[in-house]
Amino acid sequence: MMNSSNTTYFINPEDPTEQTRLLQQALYLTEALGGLFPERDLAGVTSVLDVACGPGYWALDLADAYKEQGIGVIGIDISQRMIAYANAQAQVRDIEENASFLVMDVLQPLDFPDGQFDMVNARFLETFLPALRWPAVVQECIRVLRPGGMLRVTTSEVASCNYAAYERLFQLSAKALNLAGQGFSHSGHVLGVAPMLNYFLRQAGCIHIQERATLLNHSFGQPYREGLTQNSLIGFALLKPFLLKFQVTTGEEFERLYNQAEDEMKQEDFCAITPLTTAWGTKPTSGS
Amino acid sequence: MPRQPAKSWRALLAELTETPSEKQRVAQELGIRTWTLSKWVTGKAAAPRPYTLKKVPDLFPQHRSEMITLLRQEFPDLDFPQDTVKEHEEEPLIPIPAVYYERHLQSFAHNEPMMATWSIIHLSLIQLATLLDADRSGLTISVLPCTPPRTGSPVRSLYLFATNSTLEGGTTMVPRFINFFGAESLVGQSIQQGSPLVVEDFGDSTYLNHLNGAVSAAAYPIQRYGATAGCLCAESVQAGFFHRAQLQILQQYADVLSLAFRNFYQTLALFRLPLLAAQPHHWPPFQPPVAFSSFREPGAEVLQRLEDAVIEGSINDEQQ
Repeated sequence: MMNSSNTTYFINPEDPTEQTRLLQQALYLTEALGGLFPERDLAGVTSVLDVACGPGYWALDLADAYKEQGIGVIGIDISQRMIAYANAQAQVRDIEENASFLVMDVLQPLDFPDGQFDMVNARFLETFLPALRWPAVVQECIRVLRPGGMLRVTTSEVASCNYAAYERLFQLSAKALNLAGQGFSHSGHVLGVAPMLNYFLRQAGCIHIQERATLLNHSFGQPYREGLTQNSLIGFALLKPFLLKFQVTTGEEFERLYNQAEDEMKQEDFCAITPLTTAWGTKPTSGS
Repeated sequence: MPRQPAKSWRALLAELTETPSEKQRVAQELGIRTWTLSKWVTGKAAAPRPYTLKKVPDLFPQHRSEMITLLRQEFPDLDFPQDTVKEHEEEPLIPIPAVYYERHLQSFAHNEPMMATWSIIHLSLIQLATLLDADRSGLTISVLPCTPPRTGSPVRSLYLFATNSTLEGGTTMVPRFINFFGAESLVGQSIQQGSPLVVEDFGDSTYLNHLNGAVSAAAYPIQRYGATAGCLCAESVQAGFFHRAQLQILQQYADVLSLAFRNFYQTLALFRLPLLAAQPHHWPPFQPPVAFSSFREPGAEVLQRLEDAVIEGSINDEQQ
């Protein structure tokens, strides 16, 4: 049986609060990204793979929204608890016929035949994927795509902010992730995954590659502000052991920054933005 | 000797509340005093409010049909929303997956208490939206803790802590400002009475401070051994939305939510508070623009000062 305790995920994926955080985030994330699949219509699509699906929110919503069209969605994740939860959700939402979830380690060859899926979706792989493994994982996603199928990858960068502590917590996270070998930044102040996506898709043989940026605005008065800031703070609290493990901060400094960040977010001129990048490309057919 | 059919609903009520204990039970269930009940029976009181009357048949399951027939003789326009409940009685109960419960127990056992509170409340709201409104017809589910009272004082209000909505564009789970709810509200009455309350149509009730657009609602106190921590409330844009299976789920989640709280209160004396839209007028200047940017509960002192201001403002308004 797979053991997710050896995962490189920066937060313990079996932590129940992490699952709640991801579910809460999903409530606004899909909307902020412009919908479930804004890059193209899904005519002709019958099978979709969601890589590192967590508790399965995106996959479940897609399966629910396209139930009548007969789209089948499979979600995979290393966390047994997340997968058990996602399958239970499919049962409650009465979409077991077209949504199913499997425990699978994305860092290993996927247990699917070549060309099984019309689309592969992968969001936030940077939270667990070592930088050196990106090319192989993208290549594996392409392998399970049928010719003409589409791979879509979404990644986030650390937030920038006009207040010190909130920004510093993001910088510390980037620093720790880079030390863990999960970033591409030389300075260590950012993750640097976003600039690499186009390159990875090209290297994997994709054609018609496109990119799109989305800004998640944490600033006062913005639509997702409360959810974003609350989600960030929960994330930092869960991230604390990871930051301490890579010695980018001390327990005392973390507590001071954390408390200060809570105060900063109450200020009316508090402004912060998290940039997201989505890149997508098509697996060539033999004639293309 | 066979029982003679009653000639009026008042006569039937008199017969069924003959004993003092039964009279007390019925008065308590209806939220009225026993002498009011006596006046109903004798016809000396003005006609009871339709909302209250609608509850009467369900208090006597064995005489429910007879009571409805007699009530309709005097109030032909009165519809009985509980008929809706009855129609749905045969609907299968919605099973809550074991893995749903498991997450809450894990949070309770393994997370730092404040984080466990956040996780249990938010995950409950997410799960409830899926269980109760898979078709996303327009349900808003909220958790309202008791505003922590000062030492030795009773609870005077509740405040909105987290909410999840299946309404279009209503999924933000974190309220932007602190809103207080008191005796004027369904949630306030529910915790004051210590029992669930269901409203089939707010148009027939006197409750205030429900969410904009809410037509029906169900409120369940979050309790532990008779003491109260807050209230779970579900509000729908449809009349008569709640049926037996859904109400059972809400009760189960009110029980789950008792894991999220550490403070439970024995003494409640809820104030009648101003409308939500009017509450910001009473806030003192120190009110932070956003109270819930953090996942942690706002401090008791901040809540108490805001509650003081809203209550004092309300009293001043009434005196003017």
